[in-house]
Amino acid sequence: MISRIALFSAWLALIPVAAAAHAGHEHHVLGTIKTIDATHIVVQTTDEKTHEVKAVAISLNGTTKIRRGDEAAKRSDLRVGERVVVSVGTGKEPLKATEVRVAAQP
Amino acid sequence: MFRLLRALLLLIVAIVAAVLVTRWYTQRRGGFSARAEPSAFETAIALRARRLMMPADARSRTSPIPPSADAVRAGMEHFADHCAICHGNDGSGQSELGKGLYPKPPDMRQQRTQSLSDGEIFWIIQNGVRFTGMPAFGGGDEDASAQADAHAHAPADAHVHAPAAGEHHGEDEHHSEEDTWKLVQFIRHLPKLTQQELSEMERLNPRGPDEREEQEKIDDFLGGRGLAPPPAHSHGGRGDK
Repeated sequence: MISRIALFSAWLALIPVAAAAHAGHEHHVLGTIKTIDATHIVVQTTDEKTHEVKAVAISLNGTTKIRRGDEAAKRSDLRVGERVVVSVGTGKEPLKATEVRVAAQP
Repeated sequence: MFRLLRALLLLIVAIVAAVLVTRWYTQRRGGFSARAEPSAFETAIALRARRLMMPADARSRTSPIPPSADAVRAGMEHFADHCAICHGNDGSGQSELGKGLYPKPPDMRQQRTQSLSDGEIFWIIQNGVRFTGMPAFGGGDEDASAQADAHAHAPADAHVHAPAAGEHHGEDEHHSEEDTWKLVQFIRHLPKLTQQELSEMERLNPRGPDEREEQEKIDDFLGGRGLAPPPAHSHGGRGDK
């Protein structure tokens, strides 16, 4: 009993109350694939308000998911000029892709 | 009497010592932040304490819901609606909310969760885990228990209502025991989750009006509709991020 109380009190003191975290928004980059290699994808995108066309470079890594429609795909399946939606987490620079999604094959 | 006093004194000394050690340790690490990862020592104590505090009969409890694809599917829909916001659709814990919690939700595909008994997983969902972000989802009502038992004894082709995705129970967010047992089956299925199931879950994740609009915009864009190019950055939300 004493050991249980001691263990519980140690746990109580050592473990802080869980803090409610702010749910961040997932940011997306929508555009067409300009270039793609093993570590980066460059997406040509246009700002809806200013109509400014710009190229956005986003890094890819081993954990980046690639999807064609609902199916898992490979980086080599992506083609230049295809419409793409890249999820970039919080959108903080430098941009890192968590997911690259293209439309399902027609 | 003397033994009780000695135990009380020991307890007070242990608490004071633990508080002082914690203060010293956290000051060195820049203060309490939910972004930090718990140390291996803290994790080991927390897991041990959770096990000690769980009623012994809860661990050996078995599911009254027979394993089936329908039960896994119902669990999946429920998970996408209620759990994925912290745990991620894939159970990895890699959601925006999950990454900001202390302690972080575990990767439920791994041994740490999969080695728990069905009864332990059920008990955790129903009762939550103190000092973590895991709330108690069980309502503890006898009707729910009776419903689960009735299901277990119903003929195989009997229809039992399972809440559809996005179907809420009015203002009562409690799970019935039946829901929870189906969640247990789904958690067992997590290591084998397919990309198709993940995509389906994304569509079932709860969304606000802005997120729904964002998802429609993405679907339209990928579908080749909408000639106007979209903005470079826009907001959206997914459970498995």
